Amino acid sequence: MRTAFLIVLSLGLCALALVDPKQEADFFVPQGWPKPRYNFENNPLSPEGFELGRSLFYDPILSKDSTVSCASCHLQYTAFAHVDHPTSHGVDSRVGKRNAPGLMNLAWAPYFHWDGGVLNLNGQAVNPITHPDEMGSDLATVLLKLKRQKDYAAAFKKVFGADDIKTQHLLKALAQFTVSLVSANSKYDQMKRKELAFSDQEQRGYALFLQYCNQCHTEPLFTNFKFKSNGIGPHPTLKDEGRSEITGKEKDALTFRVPTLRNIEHSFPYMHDGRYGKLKEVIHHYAKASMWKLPVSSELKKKNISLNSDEEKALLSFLKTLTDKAFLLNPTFEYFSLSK
Amino acid sequence: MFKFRLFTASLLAFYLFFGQVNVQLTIDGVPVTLNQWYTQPNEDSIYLNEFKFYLAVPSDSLVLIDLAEQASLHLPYFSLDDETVLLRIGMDSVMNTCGRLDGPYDPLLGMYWAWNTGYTQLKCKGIVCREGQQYPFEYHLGGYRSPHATNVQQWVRLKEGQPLFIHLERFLSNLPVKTQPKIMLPGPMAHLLFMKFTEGFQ
Repeated sequence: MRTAFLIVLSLGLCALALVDPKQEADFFVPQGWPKPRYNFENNPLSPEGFELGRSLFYDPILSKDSTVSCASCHLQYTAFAHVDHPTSHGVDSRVGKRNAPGLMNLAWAPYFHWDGGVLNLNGQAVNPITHPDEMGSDLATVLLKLKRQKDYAAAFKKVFGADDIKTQHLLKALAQFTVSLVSANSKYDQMKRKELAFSDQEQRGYALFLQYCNQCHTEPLFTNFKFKSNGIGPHPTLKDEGRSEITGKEKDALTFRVPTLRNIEHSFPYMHDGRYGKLKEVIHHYAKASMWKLPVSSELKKKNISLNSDEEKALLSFLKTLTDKAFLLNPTFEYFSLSK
Repeated sequence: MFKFRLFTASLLAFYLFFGQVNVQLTIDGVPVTLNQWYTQPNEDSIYLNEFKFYLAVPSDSLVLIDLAEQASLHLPYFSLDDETVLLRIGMDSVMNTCGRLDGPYDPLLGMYWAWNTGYTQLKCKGIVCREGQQYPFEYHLGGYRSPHATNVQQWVRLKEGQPLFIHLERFLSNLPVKTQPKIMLPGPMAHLLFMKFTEGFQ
């Protein structure tokens, strides 16, 4: 009797699992990290939603002439940044005015873009899709193109249960992929978990980091999500006022979002305008307070940094411990297409 | 038969307590449609290609009123048991930033500000003809940050069976078409013009 009951129970549980295609995918929150800001209730993750978003991310169908995808400027191996281009180019080889930032740990971000103008990850993708220097398309055209593709029509129906593909479905699918890009398994993370130890030079670099950098590039996300001026001065040709273009406040002029340092070794070029191609150039900039150009944030001014070349090397060694190969080579983030 | 009478009586009761209100935009008392010339009280002529704005009716139903979409001029049902109703003209900061992307929040409607999360609250495009000279204009009025927030809550007098009249002449005669024919950013001028628009609800 007892055996029969267990068989029936097991069959019942199996059936439940089979009829629940929207079973929520796990979102991994690393130990010691703050609670994510992303509202998962508003866009529950599912394996199908992730795969749909992943396919869209790699599909140039989102651009006006089907030549540029999200991945054109956000390549996995470079932490989803755009290497070798100070500022990224889009359709018709049009060049924008900002360096495409790396994409990772977006679930914790209170806002997006160098000026923080975008407050919701779900709505973020409207910008690259419609910006004339990026994908140069419009939402109506993109939705029409997607509806014409059987694979996409079926996938959207499966994920969102709707016969028609709406803007919110497109944007939420993309967000299911981008919010899942969590990088938390670098050498630094392993050291924190006591799985391995830093070398002496890495340890010296870490001490310097804590002394000079951590106030803005705060652990564990390596950003405090604030807007700062870092002494590089305005770009000679790009007219970019940064945060003040959003707030309209003079005090925010030439301030930009503090970027994460995770995977910094791979996400060159650096700064909002991509002016530095090498990480050691960035460190050298910060190492000499006497060389900074106005404006400089008050936090940085107080540090009055002066590093010698050995200290610069030690800091570089530490920053390389933030490289997360498991993230950069994660096969679940690689190119994928729903189209057979 | 009894069921039919019950249904009719229920429908009647529903209309007595919840009226449907249509929106009627006017210039100097004349109903406005797009792509027509109208004469303003200050003797300017005005031609509108585009006119749309957000309005929230009681029970917080947000709608986008678009002169190009006739159906949008019928407001959702709401209680009309008083002679005045509290309308919200434009979205508040929560509505602007809540991250909803469906219904009236759909970026497809052309009101979403992608570069600076939020929504244009009023879009108005056209031509003013003044003293024989034509002045094209385009205004995207929005912004939810104090002190230039473009949204107000306003009591409006409404009578059963009558449209919600919105008188545009005060707003349109204040458009700075000579000095500032385009406004695309939040700020004092966007706020000032938006407030002129809200005066038309009185």
